[in-house]
Amino acid sequence: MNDTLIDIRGLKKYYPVKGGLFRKHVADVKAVDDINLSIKKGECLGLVGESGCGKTTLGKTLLNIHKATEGRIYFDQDKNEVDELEKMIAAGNAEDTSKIKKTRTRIDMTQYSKKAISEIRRRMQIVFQDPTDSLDPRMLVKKIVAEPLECQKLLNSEEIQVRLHQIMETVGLSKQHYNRYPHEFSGGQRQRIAVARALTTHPDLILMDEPTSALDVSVQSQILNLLKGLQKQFNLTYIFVTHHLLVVKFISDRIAVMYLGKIVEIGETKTVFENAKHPYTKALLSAIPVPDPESEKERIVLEGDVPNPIDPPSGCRFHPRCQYATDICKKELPVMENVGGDHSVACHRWKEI
Amino acid sequence: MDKLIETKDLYTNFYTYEGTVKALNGVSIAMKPGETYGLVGESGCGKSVSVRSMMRIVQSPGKIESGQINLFMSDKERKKGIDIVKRSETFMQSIRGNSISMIFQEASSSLNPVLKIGDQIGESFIFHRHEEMVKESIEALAERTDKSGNGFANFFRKISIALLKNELKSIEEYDIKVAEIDKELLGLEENDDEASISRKRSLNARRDRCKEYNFGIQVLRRIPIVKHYQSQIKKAIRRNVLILLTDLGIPNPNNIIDRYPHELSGGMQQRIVIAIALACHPELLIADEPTSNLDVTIQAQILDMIKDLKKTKISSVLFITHDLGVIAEVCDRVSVMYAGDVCETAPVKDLFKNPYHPYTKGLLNSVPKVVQGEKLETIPGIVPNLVTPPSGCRFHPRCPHAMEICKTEKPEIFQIDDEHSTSCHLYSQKDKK
Amino acid sequence: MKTDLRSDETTLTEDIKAHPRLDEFIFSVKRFLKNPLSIIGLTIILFFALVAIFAPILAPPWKGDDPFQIPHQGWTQEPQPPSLDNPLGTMPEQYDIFYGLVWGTRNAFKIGFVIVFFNLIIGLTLGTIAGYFGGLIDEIIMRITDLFYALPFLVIAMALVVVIGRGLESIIIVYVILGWRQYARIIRAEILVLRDKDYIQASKASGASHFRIIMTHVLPNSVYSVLIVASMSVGTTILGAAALSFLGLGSDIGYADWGAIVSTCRNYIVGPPGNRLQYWFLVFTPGFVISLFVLGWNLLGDAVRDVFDPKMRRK
Repeated sequence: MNDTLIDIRGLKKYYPVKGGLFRKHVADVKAVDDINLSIKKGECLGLVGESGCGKTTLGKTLLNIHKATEGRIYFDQDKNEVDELEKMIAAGNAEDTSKIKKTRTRIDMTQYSKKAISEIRRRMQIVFQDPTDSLDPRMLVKKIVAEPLECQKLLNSEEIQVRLHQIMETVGLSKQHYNRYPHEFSGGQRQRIAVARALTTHPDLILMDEPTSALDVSVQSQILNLLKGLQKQFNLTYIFVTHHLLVVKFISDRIAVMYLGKIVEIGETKTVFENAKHPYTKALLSAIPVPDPESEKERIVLEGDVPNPIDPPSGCRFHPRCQYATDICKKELPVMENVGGDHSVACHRWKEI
Repeated sequence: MDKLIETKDLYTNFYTYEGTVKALNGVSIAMKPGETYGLVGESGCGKSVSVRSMMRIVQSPGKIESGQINLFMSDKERKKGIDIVKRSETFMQSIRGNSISMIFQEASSSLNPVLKIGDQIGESFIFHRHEEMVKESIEALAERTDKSGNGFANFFRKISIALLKNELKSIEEYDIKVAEIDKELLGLEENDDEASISRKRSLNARRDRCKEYNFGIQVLRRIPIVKHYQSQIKKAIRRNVLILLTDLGIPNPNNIIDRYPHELSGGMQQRIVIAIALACHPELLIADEPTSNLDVTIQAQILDMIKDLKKTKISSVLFITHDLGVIAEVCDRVSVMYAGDVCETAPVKDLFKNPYHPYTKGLLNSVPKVVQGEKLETIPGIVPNLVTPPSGCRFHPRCPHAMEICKTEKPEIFQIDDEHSTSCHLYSQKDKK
Repeated sequence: MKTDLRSDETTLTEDIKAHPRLDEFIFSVKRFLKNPLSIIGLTIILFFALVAIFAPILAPPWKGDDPFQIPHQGWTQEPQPPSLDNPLGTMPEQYDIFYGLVWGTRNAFKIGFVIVFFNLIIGLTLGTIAGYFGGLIDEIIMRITDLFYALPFLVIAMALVVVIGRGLESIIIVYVILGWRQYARIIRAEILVLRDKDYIQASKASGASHFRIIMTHVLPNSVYSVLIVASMSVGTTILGAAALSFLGLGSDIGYADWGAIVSTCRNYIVGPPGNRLQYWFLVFTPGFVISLFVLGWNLLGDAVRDVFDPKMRRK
């Protein structure tokens, strides 16, 4: 019985760029570039970063909305099997290729058959950012929320109604809301409907893609409280993608900071906030406007703009904007090094800064 | 209190298919010159509508129902403001972009995608500082004529100078006409009787019909080869645009001038929008959620830029946002709005330390803070529908301290001290007792 | 925990809605009826519908065989002006205009509906597949559509008539083959926008099959613009069919079809020198009837668009 729900190894998602007269494959948008990550059951992992860092793409690739270009995703698999397979892949022996392929079809989500994927869909759900766009404007609320159950064909229609009623109550909606259209609700209520839809199949994992960014402040707090309560009540695992650092601090157990498709720092929320090691994390934390006029804060203002994932800088992706960049930063990609406990950072110079 | 712009009891309605949206419910805001004033509130609270009403760019089907908007512009009377609610459109056009500038949330939709950056910044110059530009180009041409000896070129330059001087005269005539009309309007400002109102109306209409150039100039500007004399003005504008961009600290201005908006990043676009807004040295810059769509680090850059500009180029900024953190960082005084009402106005430190209005308190509590407990405080309920807003105080359905009077009467503004005021029956009641 | 959550939001005070879809429908109908132009359009179409339904009573057929054969008294070439016997006059060879127009209404509806119906089926299917699946399928289908756009209409029409023979059926077939192009384009454009919407992705994440997503999410949200064009097309298709008939590709002389009527009167449109307008009744009445029919459908289409335009629905 292991407590790792998702184990990601070497995940890459590249979008090909076609250019030239014959639309040849010219370059790649390296949205997600070699990610290694593991998520425990029942925890909330915050994925933080700015636009273009790949956090949304990573989440959607995990849920198989996008197809991974390379890499392995192990969803609730036996740790020993995973370790064995990884060893084989790392060794790279030619004779093992067919064995690797067979094992991967069995335990690697990126290689699952269509049938296996549709079975696993029940266990992973998603809540989107824009509550208006994430609900079909022509469908009644009760149909929207029941849709995952109807697609899975696991329960008959009576049982579906019972489950529907349970979930709606949990989320704070009542019978009056069933027979209405999404546009009759406020933003916060629509987001509750989206959360209800995500809960109907009793999933293990829910990907939250900026669920409160489009909501007002007072509604945001309601939804955040709801999400936190649900996590405890149903022992859910969350992947919480956002750019709002104070929100992620409230709801996540661990956070991973992403920049241009790579994870630059990861660790327990408290540790990362109090003891950030990566220069980007430090700049990000200092850039948050704090709702306290008395707080004196050293602001690290980064120069330049967020670079383009088509043509990422050589070596450490952050070096053009980093005030501590040296020669090695321009040439070599830093690897993840352990700072202490769960806290890791990918920076050549973290010890000195 | 020295004022720059103020509104008194402003009511704005939107006449939509679903009903009349009573967006502003008697909004009174007063801004001092030289300060950064913040308007904070959630969606639907009316902060954007207030500011658009102030600039009179409320989109139809919106209409300013009643109230005053008083503008106190420098050089002219500071004690007596000009009520701009009923002024003519040309008057407003002369103010917008000139004394008051506005920047919006989406930088990419504020920029015309088919015009180069230089052209867009130049538009502001052409419209508001035309006289200056013409004078500059005359000077530049005169200099060149003296220096080089080439006969033909000199001849053409002299013709250009003459044509430009002609334009200058035309503009000056227009200015005199408009100044006369404005003087009379100012004199009639206070009068309310029938005759004055109709006279004001006809003066406003005449102002709208005044043309900047006489007929002769208009013809000249269209004749194919002759109209080339205009290019001198364009050169003067380009020089000025370069100076502006360098002043604002935008890197590589020579390169940027010839680019199109889509070639720039979001943060750079917003900076260009700010440059356009500052082209004419406005007295007041209104920023409507300028950083809400930007990444945190870019937002930090823009906020720093605005803070720097306050020291050098603009004196007063009206900053609209829903982010309390930004308010705490950038603003001197703040007004909190809810559903078309102004709940509380105070200097920033006082507001955060000592909030009076229940909505302000609720808002401050529901924001996730650096030191945060297990649960966030919430304000129960949702923002009301403004077609059928709650009676009396619009916040009463969600207020933990709601009393009977709150359901029937709209609370008056209660001055807590010189700078801090709130409209809530909790306090005005105590006062009455 | 549960009571805590519920108290956070004020619940809607209205009762449980029993028939939400019916309410929406009634709302749309009310919007529809508020527009004066739509009422006019609806009235026109209803009028024609009634004429078509009551054709046997308004213009009782002769002899009892094919009612679409216009009766004629004699074989005189010259058309006769309106009289008691022939309320709207007669065409060359003494075919009764009134009879022809009344029974022609049935054919008009038939032509309009059949053509548009099949066009919709073909266009929607191809356009949906192209838009939803994208990639190579999209390219192939769009090139086919381009090909059909490039085909010269008249040439194809004439070629088909040569193969199949004259008559209304030929005209219908021609339009069915060539008329679906716009629907494919429109629905494809709508779907391209819709494809990336979050609720489609949410359905995919729930495990919905492509067919389910298309039928329950994509089509209901994108079909409105097509329907608007379709309702206007009924009118213009009639015009087109009449044009083909006028060129001689439609039915024979004596068949109750508006286009055929105009075609039959071809030689008598302009009268003898000195009395150019002698045969006004040949041009005026059939022309007026056709125009009115097209107008009715156009107004109806406009009104349908005003009601169903998503931007104008709820703001």
